[in-house]
Amino acid sequence: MAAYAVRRMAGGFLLLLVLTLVTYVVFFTIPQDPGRFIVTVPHPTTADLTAADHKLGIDQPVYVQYGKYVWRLVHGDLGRSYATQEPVFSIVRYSLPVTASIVLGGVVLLALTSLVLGVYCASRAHTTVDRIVATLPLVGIALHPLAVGLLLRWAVAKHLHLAPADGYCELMPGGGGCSGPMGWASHLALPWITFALFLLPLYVRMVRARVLETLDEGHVVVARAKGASERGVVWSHVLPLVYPTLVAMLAMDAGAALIAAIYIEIVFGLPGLGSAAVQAQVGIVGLDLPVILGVITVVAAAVIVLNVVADVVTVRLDPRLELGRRRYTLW
Amino acid sequence: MPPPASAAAATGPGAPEPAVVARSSWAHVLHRLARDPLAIVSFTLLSVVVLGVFAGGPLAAHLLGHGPNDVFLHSITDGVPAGPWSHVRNLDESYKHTDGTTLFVLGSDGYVGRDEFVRLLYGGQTSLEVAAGATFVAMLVGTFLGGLAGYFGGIVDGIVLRIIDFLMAFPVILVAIAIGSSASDRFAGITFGGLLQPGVIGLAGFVGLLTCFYPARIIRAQVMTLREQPFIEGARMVGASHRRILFGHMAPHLMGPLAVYSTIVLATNIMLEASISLLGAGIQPPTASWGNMLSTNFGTLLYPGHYEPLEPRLWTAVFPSLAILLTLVAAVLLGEQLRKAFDPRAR
Repeated sequence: MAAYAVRRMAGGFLLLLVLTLVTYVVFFTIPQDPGRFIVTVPHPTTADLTAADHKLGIDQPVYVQYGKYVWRLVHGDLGRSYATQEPVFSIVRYSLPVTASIVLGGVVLLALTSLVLGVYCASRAHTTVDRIVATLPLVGIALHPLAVGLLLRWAVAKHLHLAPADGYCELMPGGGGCSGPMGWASHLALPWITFALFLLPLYVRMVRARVLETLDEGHVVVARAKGASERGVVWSHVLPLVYPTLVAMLAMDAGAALIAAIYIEIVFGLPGLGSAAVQAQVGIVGLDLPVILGVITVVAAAVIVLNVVADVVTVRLDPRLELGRRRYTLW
Repeated sequence: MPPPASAAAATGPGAPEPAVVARSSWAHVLHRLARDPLAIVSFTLLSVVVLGVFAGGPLAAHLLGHGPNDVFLHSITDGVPAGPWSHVRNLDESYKHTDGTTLFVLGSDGYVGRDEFVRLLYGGQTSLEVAAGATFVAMLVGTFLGGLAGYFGGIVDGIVLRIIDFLMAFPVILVAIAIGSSASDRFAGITFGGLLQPGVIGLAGFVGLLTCFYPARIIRAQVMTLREQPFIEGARMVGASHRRILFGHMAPHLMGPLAVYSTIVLATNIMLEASISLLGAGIQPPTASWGNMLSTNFGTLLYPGHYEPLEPRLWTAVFPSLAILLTLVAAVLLGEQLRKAFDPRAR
């Protein structure tokens, strides 16, 4: 299992290299002038710009720059922002916990609600309730998380005043302001709900289908035959077979989840990775390549690690499965 | 000369039986679709959206007397944009005198003061053009890749599978942020003499390449099963070339899945266009698209880190969202009914 994880990680690292290389090459085919980021005089001469370019290291050929980028990456250094000269690592260190909080809390909420609703629908299969829930995915995929977030923000925060509309509070108390578990959770309540709603319809359908499928299996018939209650059958004979599917699906959707997180950060004004990337993209002077690359690298690494972890967990949960036999794997 | 089909029946006792007319599989599909209320509803809905956007846009602009990019300073009073169905005072060319009012059917678009309704229709043109173009690119590239992988297998299959895996698992929006806007800037000038909105070509190509994995997977699986069929084996046995087998014998079997999945890819692409333009990386203002119309809610989108609690006008988010919702539901529903029509036994 360890060898498997190492092999997958190595493949993932290769993928990361390809990805950053593509971003680098495309970036340098775009006509723009990063030197202007750090020039302080209002009307820079060509000499000023050349000096600035030299200071940023972008007067070198692309492959030298890329080589240096990889060299630094291996040593855990993501470079410095063109605009603020701040190390990208510290930008990531401040924004990663925000995005992680949104995704983790959202995933917990998503898993719980989809299990409850999925089992409920399965126990009432082919009734009106079940049919109504079955049509929800159609609406679910057609609603953008941004729109859902805006509506929630408008209704719950601005009109009912049940939760704060925006801002982020640190989990650990002592950070000043509203930091602490309560402030953290209350500020993230709406983002979590938005996140869960984004994927919920799909997951309810999946859990429902999986429960119905498992209810037909032999071991369930045996459990019923020896007189187990319906609740007991679902809890100890059906649900353990649903968990691996749930974990596998969550891993597959890691990329989609991070995309949703970008929009959720925008709606609720959370200073996460997505906000950092968007900010680096809309700068007046041009694209802040190191920041964008830093975010891409961190997100890609997270997706790769999560996929491997999910693979291992899935096999642990369901010994009948075999490693490397999953349908959708990332290298 | 062969006897008429009804000849045998007519000679038998009793009433003459009607002739059995052979129909092509396409005729069967059309027949099933025509009797399927959901398919008719979704097809009508989609046609209404397309017609409304492409014919209704210029018509509305003509009737209301202003285009999608015309700014009306009086549509914003004290920082609050005019609400739906309000009459906005006109300004003359020198922005000094007012003469009469003009109707803003769905109000003003946030903080610039343009007509939300006219922009919604013109934005629909952009969004649908991008989505349709991207779907075309995705189907073309996807069919090519999937067909190659499925038919030849081996190393070709391995490479294509890696590309598919990569496109599926990676949050592509981030790459779009990194390279999207600048890449599409270059194509912004190509409008085919005003036929397309600016920026459509670049974004359509980009989105199409990102979503080509979906048809590629489907076509690959389909071709792999077809390859083992006796009629392909027969064709190979009589010495048919690869090209003949692919285009003459396999292509007709791929048309069904292609028709079905193009509607689903279309739906995905409408959403992707919105997601990318929303972040300022796709269609650039002032050209309207449903995506960048959603973003006009955020006078502060440009600085998400320093979010100012300006109350966004709800309707400027609701109308584009509703437009996207309507189009997507229609497209997905039509795809689902198409699938059933092509394969009536499948659930």
